[in-house]
Amino acid sequence: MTIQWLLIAGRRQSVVGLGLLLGLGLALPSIAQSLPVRVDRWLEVESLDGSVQFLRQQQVSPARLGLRLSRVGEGLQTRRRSSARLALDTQIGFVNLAENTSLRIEGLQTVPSGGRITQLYIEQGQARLQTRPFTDPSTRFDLRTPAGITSIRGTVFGVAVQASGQTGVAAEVGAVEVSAQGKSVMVNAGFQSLVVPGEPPTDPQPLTDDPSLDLRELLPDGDLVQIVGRTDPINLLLVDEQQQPVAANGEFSLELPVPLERRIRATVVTPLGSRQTYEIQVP
Amino acid sequence: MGIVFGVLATPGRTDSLECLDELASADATGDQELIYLGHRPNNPYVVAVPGRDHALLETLKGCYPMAFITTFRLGAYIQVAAYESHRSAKPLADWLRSQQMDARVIYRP
Repeated sequence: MTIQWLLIAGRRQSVVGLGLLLGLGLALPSIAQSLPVRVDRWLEVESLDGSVQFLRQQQVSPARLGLRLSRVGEGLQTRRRSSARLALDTQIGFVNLAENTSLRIEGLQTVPSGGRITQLYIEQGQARLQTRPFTDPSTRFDLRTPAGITSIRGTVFGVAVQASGQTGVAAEVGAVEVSAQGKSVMVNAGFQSLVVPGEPPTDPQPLTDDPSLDLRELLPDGDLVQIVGRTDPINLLLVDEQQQPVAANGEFSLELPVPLERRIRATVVTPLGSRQTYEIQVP
Repeated sequence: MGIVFGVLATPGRTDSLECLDELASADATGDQELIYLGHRPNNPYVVAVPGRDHALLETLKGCYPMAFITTFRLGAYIQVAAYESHRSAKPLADWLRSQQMDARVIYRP
């Protein structure tokens, strides 16, 4: 199962300089100009809120403002009710991480022409990315998720990545091309798409940025309760800060223990970071 | 107040009915930061339609978006809306019955 995403601003771009990703089975052209050179580059923690951990090899320590991540494997992990904002070295881009989101550096390189190649990995969670239009055509900003790769060139967009790899993408500025399973769709600003692992991306739909939750069944049974409902499938659903599976049609069915106070907190998060919290009272 | 959006249709019916905002639910949705769903302990008088009819739920949600299916001692039912008093709940139950729905008011604190 290989899903490849290309998110671009304005026009189609070729895929270059993703040698680190060959292990994923992605066929990439070899272009001499994209050979990396050593130049100091970093991601700097510009702001943080709550509990945010700095990941370095196998070590974990509290992150702090001004911390610079520069090596492959280094990253950030936001915990419950926490968030962080990272600036990319010369501030050509920013990454906003929502709670329970992990990010690691897979590559920070500069090519001889001066272009900068940035490769990040988000395993799950929600992130909103913003980049300036790149003046150097060899500059790339690639975001990998379990479902595939997002290549960004001067745009504002967000992703919401479920544990299953199902990924919603919403384009706020610029244009986005999403490719998977041999099918490509162009997602312009104001549109959204969904990629289910093993399937082609959905045709673009008008952007809703809608964190609604439609409760349909609430069935207590002893110490458990079954909650059935719907939300936009590009969204993330969190219950007590823990991510829950949402099917490709937006339906979810959860079986949860009934808390002592019989109230369950659920939060819906859109790819662009809009969120709504619900309190579900169990009868 | 007049007529608001949405239609109601009972199972087996071919026609549809407009729903009236004077029979709107007392289910407050909470503030912008927190929306309350499900059981409403402060509104124990529930307008209920027995059964687990998803098509009927879909129809009812056109007028009562907070409606959902749940269970009580006698089995599954659609909770259409919940009110603070029996007096407040009765008009909706009466109206749904006039539309050939098996609606009643139950007390569920």
